[in-house]
Amino acid sequence: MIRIITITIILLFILTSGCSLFIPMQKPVEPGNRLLLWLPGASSVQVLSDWNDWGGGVAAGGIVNPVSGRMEKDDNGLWTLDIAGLPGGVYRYAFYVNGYKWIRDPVNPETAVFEGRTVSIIMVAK
Amino acid sequence: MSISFMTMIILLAGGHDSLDVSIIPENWVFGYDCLIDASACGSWKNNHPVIDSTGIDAAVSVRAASPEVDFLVTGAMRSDSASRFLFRRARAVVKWPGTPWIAAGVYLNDQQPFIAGLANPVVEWGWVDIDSIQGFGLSSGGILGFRGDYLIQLTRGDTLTQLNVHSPWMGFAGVDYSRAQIHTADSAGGNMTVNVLSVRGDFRYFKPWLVVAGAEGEEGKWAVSAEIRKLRPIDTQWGRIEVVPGIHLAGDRIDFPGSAFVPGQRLITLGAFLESRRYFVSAGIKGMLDLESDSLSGVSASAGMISEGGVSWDVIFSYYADCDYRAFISSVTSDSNASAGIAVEIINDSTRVTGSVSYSPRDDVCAEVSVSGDLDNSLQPSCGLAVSAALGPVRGILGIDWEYDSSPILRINLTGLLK
Repeated sequence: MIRIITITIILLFILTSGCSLFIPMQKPVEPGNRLLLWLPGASSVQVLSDWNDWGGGVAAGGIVNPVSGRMEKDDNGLWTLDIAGLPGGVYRYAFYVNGYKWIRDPVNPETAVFEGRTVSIIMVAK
Repeated sequence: MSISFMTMIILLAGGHDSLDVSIIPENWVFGYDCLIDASACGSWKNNHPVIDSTGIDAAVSVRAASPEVDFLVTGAMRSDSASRFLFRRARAVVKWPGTPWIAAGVYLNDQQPFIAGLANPVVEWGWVDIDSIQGFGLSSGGILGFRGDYLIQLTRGDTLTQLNVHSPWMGFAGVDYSRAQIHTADSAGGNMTVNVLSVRGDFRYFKPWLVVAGAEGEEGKWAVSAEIRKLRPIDTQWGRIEVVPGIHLAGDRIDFPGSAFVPGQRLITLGAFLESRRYFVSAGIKGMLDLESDSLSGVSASAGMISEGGVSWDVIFSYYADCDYRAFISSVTSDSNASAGIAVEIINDSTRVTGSVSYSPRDDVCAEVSVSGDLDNSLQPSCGLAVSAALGPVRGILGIDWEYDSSPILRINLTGLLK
């Protein structure tokens, strides 16, 4: 518990110090209905989700297809995937970076669990 | 026979370019792809690298489709300890002439059951072994925008039936109904039925989401989840704060094959989530009160941000009434070619710190080194090196992992989708 309190105090101190590292980056002018991830050094980023059988990882064979859910990278290091065509429902998803690393969407506050990993949730009404 | 079939598939796939165009019927579309996954794993022994295992998994898929039919065959050849060939997946669907939204199909290792809930699913992937599924089904759609399918399948001697009906968006609501049922071959074995009704609405000031699940035959096999969305006390151009009340109730005897419900839970939740429209920043906090046993009571919070200075922050914290807690804090600073980060993960009494640096000499190549250790006397250090490259549809990874008191493990993996 002491460690948690210490880390919390350090974080609060940094957060309240007004450091420029804590000014949030601006999103694209029209983000639209897209998933976004800023990761300029990655060699590849995919979105693995319930809607694409986790890239094929839960389908017969269990191999993650390197093309499934592949995001496109722009010159600023921003990876994007258009999800406008998703049917209504609740979906879990995660970013699959460089073919071996799972990370949740850092700017989506809602989380769930898939195979022991913390992943993100998106709810599509229509 | 297996080899000849594989040869046939490869010849058929490889012969695409040489097919006489005139023999392809009008309105037919042919396609094929080959998914290859090759890996080797080794260790460092007596000052020499030793390969311990290798495996090549190649799956060739051939598709043929017309307005009336849809064929898919995937054959796979796996070469690890013993080379073998197998049908991985097959599908043949016939559509009613003139009304393609009415169809009947035969499936092999396809159409796996999955039913979403709120956050976590009611029926999770892998409930039944996908490699064991075979059966046939009917599907229809287009009638007032509704679509549905019914499948009857065999899996390791048990009979699995699935019924899914999806409504169109009706202006203010959408409804999905799913039913999955297993009849075991053993008369003494337990049958299982899961019925799930999911309703999502969108009214002017709020969005109700409701999931009702139930099993047949016995009392206490029911569950309900409901959340109210779109309650936004603050909603500006900068962003919004959304308050989400919810309730999750379940009978004492549920045994649904997913993590959406816990037997006997009486859980009330209240969440508040900050999402920015203009900036890469978010935060959320969710409180859970278990009226039945306190075991699920607790609070969880998460926050994330990408700063103008190129630093990504990710914080997750969970604390439960039984004093279990977990915290994860990650910070990574990046520029176009390099990044460095540190992550701290605390699970009850253990704390693990991981530091990582990466360098990307070009857009499609990235090398990363990570070192981690526990913050206690045991330390349990480990480190890893991974070099990944993504060239179009082909991805390669070279990795070395080392943990304290064990030999380094070497990994090479190459995955590609060739069309």
